[in-house]
Amino acid sequence: MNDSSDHEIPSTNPELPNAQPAVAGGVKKAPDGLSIAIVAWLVPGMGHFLLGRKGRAILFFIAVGGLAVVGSVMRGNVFPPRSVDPFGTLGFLADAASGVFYLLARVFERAGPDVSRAAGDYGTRFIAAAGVVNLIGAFDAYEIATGRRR
Amino acid sequence: MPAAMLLSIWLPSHFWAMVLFALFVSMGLTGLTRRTAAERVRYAVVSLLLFLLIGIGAAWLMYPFSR
Repeated sequence: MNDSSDHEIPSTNPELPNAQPAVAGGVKKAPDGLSIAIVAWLVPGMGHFLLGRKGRAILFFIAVGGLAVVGSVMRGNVFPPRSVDPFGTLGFLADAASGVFYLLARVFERAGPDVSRAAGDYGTRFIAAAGVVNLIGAFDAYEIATGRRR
Repeated sequence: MPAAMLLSIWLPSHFWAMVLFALFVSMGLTGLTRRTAAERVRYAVVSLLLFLLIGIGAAWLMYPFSR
């Protein structure tokens, strides 16, 4: 999974040594950091995939997807956008950070959460952790796209 | 879905829930590293083992206060 050298896309930051003209001379224009971050948030790993880091894209997709799916199967709490208490709002922010997996968990959540058992309580943490891992991945993709990291 | 049914039977164990959590989070952290493939695998294994070791260690430390 050493994917740091394949499909390099030039940085959009002109101060960096690997920066190249974005459109001139047939050089493929690099996507801007914000678009990459949004795509990476919506679909875990997609930001890295678009930047040519396929190994890391697969890692992030499996990690975020695995946490979200296992958490849902354990009947963890998927927090709705509107909540009466601040912890519910924080839970929603963590859950929503997993992008499309949050939407899928909301759509396929049939029986609702069951936090009366330990498994359901763990599931809540799994789903929140999926969002946090995806957020880290989205920031990483943003930094790669802007040339701050390689 | 057979996979979901299998998971629903398997997951009530606290230990396996911890193992799965450690596995997926280790994979996510490995995605942040800038190393060769072999070094990444080693990083993932060490990270996974540390998660498990610290988790089980913390459980043993808390055991005297659990009742």
